[in-house]
Amino acid sequence: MGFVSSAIRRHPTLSLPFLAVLLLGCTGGETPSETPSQAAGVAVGPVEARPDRHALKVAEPRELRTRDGLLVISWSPVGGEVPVNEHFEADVTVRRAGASTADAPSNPLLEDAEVSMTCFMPAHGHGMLREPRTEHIGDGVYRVRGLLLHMGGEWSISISASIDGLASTADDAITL
Amino acid sequence: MSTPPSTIGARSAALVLGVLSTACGGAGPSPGPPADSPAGAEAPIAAPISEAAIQAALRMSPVPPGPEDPTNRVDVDPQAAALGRLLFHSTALSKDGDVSCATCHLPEQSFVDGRALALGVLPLERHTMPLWNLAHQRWFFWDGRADSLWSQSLVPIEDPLEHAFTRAGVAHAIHDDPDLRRRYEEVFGALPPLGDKLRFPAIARPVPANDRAHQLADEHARANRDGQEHHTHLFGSGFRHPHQRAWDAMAPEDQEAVTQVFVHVGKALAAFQRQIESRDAPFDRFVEGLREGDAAKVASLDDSAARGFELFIGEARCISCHGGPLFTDLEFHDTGVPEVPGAPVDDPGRSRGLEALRASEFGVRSRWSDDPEGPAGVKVDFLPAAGHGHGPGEFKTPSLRSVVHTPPYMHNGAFATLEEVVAFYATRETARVTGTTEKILVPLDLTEEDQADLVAFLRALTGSPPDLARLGAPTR
Repeated sequence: MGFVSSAIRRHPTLSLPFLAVLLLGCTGGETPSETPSQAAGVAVGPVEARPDRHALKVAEPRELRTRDGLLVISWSPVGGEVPVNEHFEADVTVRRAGASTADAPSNPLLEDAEVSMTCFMPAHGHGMLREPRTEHIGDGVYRVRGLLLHMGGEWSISISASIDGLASTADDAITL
Repeated sequence: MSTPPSTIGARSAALVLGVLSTACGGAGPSPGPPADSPAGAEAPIAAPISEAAIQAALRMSPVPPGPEDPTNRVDVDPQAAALGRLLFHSTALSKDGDVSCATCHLPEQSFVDGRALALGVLPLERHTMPLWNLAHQRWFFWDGRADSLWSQSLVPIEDPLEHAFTRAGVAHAIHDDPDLRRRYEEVFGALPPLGDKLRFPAIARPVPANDRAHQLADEHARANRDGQEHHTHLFGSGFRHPHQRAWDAMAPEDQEAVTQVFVHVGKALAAFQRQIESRDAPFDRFVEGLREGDAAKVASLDDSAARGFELFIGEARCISCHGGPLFTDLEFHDTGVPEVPGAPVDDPGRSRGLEALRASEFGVRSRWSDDPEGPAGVKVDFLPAAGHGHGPGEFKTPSLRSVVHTPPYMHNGAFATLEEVVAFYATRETARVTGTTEKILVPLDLTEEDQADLVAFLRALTGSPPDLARLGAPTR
């Protein structure tokens, strides 16, 4: 088990999971989440033949306040996930910020904004290698097409909305 | 790298559990310890790796089947591939009958030539690219100036530095060879009446504005100190290249017919080249072992290579660009590769490639594509405007599959060995850093053993050698 100890030295935070797994493996211990066959130590397989796809699931729209506090911008990837190194699209909505009431939980979606979305990798010093374009597809939803996050890592996302010539920008960050 | 929100983690943990418990004497389909190793002692597990490494490994193997290119209707046609194999190895598609695709892409040398800078009819300015797993690629050439394998295949044929041939010459070469002609017509239908030499000159092509013949003429003009006549007076303002004059003398419908033959040749060449695949590497057997809980397969990755993989996805951050089953992000980066003698200074790389891509008549959205409106064109629909998005010195991230067989390395062959490549990224001592160089590339705290482990891992990406009986020069 020379490699295990080497790996644990290099990655001390891994030692507990490794030891736990090792212990379970060598004692036939059970964990509630495992199937009986796994718990008995029988190898799992065959499993999916293709490499697992790498994507960040975004189940709910991500709601952001612009830097100037004037707008609330929400965005979500079409299909509910941001894939690594595959083209995808995102839907953006814009509304004016304001106190919500029981009768008016939020201001209406704005349909006359100019919306743009850019993504940048701060650690790498570069952004996307594509220039996305945005189209208002109706009902206050702006679809951003041509997004491609070609690398894993942290991406900062800036979404700008121009209304009556005044631009406001909201910031987000995701890690793929 | 963060943990992606998927079910991989739980499954991977179960896989490790399966492997370890099997090694510890648990029942299962995996082979037990070797006969000379007592059960429960030193377990025969060569490379149990961290949870993060397992997750990464599962995303990096196996190499999926190559996706079919909808812009090439004969992409997976066996007859087209057989024709493409003949064409790939044929020197008839060159100016003097002495250059074929296989001149630089030698099958017995893993489809590269071992040179730092390639040599066609004349010396080239970049290193010969490997041909492994081309069906997966998004862009072609180091600068991505072609957006499909079939359109890439056409460029060298008419490049004055490579085959220095013409599309009319290609059509005649097929027409004049009974076997090639028969095979061509079985796949693509009847050739135009190329026997009519008045309508179809032997040598003719449209000469693009960025044709390297102009560049060569300039170089000749500057170098013409020996009193020799280099015909540089033929090239210049207002002069039409002889190939262009011959082309202009043809009727538009005959130009169209010749270009169609030329495009078919590119598509047949693509059908052949997509068969050149690298898979079945020790790393693939290792991952297969993880999936199946097979200790013997897991042992395909030795300890050094396993440590190298941990570094690859971790401290060394190679995976940032070399991710996925092909170990490439398929896109472009400036990694600060030093310049070398013979290669151009300040090679613009992708920024020039984008210009050439836009100028190409054979793009995936062009009328020569078999699916010009289809989804394959999304990659070109949102490219940055000229001059934006790419700085000088950005080149395509090469795949690392079977990389051990394709030295020297980098777009200009700057490094002779994998050890030199790893040292370059580890120390950055020779890096040519500019404002657009990847910021993430900084000196790493890697020992000599670490670097050796990384090389060991790269060697573990070596698939089976090319099947020369299937991919080598055909006998007719």
